Amino acid sequence: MKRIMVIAIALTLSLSFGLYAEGSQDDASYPSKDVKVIIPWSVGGMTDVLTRPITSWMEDYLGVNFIVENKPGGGGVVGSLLIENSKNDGYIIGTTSMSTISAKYISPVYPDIKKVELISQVITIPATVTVNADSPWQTLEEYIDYCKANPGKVKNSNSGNGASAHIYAEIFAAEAGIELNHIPYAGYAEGVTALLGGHVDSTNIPLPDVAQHVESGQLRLLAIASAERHPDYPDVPTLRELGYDVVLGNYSGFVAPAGTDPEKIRILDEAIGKCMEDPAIRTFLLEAGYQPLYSNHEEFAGVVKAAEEQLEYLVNDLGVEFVDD
Amino acid sequence: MSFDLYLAGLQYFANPMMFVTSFFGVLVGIIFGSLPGLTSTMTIAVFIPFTFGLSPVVSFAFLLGLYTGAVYGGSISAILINIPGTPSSIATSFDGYPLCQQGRAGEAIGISTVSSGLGGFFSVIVLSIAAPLIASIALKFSAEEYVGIALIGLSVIAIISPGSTVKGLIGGVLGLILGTVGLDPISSYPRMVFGKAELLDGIDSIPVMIGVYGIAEMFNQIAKDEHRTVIAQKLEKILPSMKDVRRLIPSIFRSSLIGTMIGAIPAAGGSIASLVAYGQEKKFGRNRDKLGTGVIDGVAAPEAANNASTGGALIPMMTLGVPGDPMTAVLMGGLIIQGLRPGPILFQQQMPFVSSIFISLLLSVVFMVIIGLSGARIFSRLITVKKSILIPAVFIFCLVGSYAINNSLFDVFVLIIAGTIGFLLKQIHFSVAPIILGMILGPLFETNLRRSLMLSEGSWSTFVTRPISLLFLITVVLILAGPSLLKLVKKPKVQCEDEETDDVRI
Repeated sequence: MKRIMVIAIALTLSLSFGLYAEGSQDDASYPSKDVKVIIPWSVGGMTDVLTRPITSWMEDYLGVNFIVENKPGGGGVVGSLLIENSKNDGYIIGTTSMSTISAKYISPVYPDIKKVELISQVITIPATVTVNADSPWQTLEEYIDYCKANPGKVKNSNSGNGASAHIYAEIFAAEAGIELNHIPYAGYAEGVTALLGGHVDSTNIPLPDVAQHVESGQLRLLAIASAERHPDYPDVPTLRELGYDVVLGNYSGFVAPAGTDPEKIRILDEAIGKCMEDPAIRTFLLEAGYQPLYSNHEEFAGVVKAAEEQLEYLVNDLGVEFVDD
Repeated sequence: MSFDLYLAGLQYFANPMMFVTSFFGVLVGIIFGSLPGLTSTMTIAVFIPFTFGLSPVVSFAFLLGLYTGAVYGGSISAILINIPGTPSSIATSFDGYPLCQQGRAGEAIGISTVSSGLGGFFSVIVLSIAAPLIASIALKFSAEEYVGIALIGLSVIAIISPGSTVKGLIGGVLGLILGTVGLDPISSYPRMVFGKAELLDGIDSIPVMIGVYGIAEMFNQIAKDEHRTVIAQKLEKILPSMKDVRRLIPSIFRSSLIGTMIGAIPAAGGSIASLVAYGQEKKFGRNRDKLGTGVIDGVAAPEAANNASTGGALIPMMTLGVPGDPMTAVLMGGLIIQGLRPGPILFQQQMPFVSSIFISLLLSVVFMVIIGLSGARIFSRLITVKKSILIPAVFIFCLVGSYAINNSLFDVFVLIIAGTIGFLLKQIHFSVAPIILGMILGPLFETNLRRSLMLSEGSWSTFVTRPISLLFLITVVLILAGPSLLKLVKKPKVQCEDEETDDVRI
């Protein structure tokens, strides 16, 4: 009796597995079943907040569920590795940002951007040069002059050694020919708080996290590191205008495991593109402090390559070491 | 600050949905918080996706209900089965569980409910009157002050650890060592990572806590064959007498103040608040000599503090956009998803919404007291559930709870290892609370010590030239050297028998 039971269970299992496998092979109309979206960051984090409205829009558009799963850990390393090692049948996708490519400079285990297919970019986050409103510096020139007169004296808060805001600060300092005292904090919010409390003098933390303190008058934006001026801050110059030829910032976008069918990538990319045209999504992203910027999978590859080159330049040419042991 | 801004929020009282979601939030929060293994942070993270479709006011009423309920609910399992439901109720188990063993679980839950309610109420009042003021004080706290807070927390370990002080300190050091795993917080150098991506962020203290309390306690009960004995509970007395409440008011007030202030300092949070409150009770409380043997004072102090810290932690989140603890970090994400970005702008421009947060918090405190007092009998009856059902159930909750924090199987392994080690430590009468506290306080201390020295360009004098930092350091000296200083002044009457006690309750 027991043996019959075991056989019955085994049969049921293998049958259901067979059906499942068959279902996934039948892809005349992709997507035909639920798509899992792995976010390598926590619930309520930056990427989570911007990804969920987009995936719920795609649910309506493509007619299947997009199930978001957060796999935080190691600053995105855990989840990014998981995406790389997932099945490339088009039903598992994930999100990426600059920390996916910068992880290799600090972490003994790190993801490889070549092991994923880029789908599309959805936002860009420009870095800034921000100081406390009580500080004497009204313009970037005054700030840089002071830094040059007092090398290594100006304290600059970042989001951790080797993390994004530290990378921006190192590149900016090299371009401007100044020397900063880099003080690492646990994240953007903590770094901004230190500036608000006057414990540091400046920061290069990106716009979304400093924006509302600039609006409330506690912080002052000296420059934005984007290619063009920001629509909300028409008076704030870009670094490029001021003669420092750098564009610094983070991005966020969707990826799929390497080897995913290009046709499926195209379908997803197209859907994301449509989604980004929806005024409701744009308004949501803008109000949450992000700058919506859609790039298709080819343009996105250029963005990622530029970021990789920037990091290479930082480590090889400027000789910045994130880990000093 | 104009008063009609607060009145503008009163319209929300006419919104019945807010009452309904707040009530359910508290109820669900208490249930999840009281289930061993399911922590408050996990509860909020799991339920946030359910709020996406709701309006901001209604969804936030639900989330704040969850938050308040879960922090309070953690005390129930701490009292009944010696497993704190959340890290902030570790201190509650010190006296809560002995009370339960005396058959006074109902009374302990009663006093825990009343003091949680008073602590929560206190922090709502402070939050609504003085949030911007407190936020500006909290902003003055730099790395040096955090070092002071961490040191106070670490020195409190020496006072509060039940049983042997030496074993308590060894546990504390063990915790500090565990806290060094992961990427170095300043230079990002990987320490004891063993090529594991999951270890880059260090060992999460939550699965360790669930393990050394939940799993280890269940192993212990199985090994000691305790599962056959059931302690008869006196259930007549739930509501604490007016006399008791009046006696405890000063200590509840002190603890609420400590809770709100520590909660308001970003990165400190409820676990440190309840610990410091218990520590001060052991120093200054009227029943300080009996603390740890099962007195209601020892339940009232940490419970008032951890619920007061909920309002406190909302202060930096709402006024600065900086979350005070992991729970408020998740809550903040919930707000941003609703299209509201917490911070100075929200506080200045969306005052009706901000006042709806105050009202939600007040509502959840009221619901918490109502549900807590009316449910105390049912809760304490839970302890009479057959151990053959209870023990496997606790195991399952611990497994699920540690997985659900980060959706990580790795955390489940951490749980099992911690549980096994915790069980072995219990056999040699080692208390595990100092390990958890060391794990929480160690990184806070190390990061800020190194950051202070970077800010001061290597000068150690920065710790004594900053007034608040100096004050904290003096407090630390008084905590550690206070008893011996007192002995010098007064002649010792009773010999200290601390080392002899073989009493391991946690």
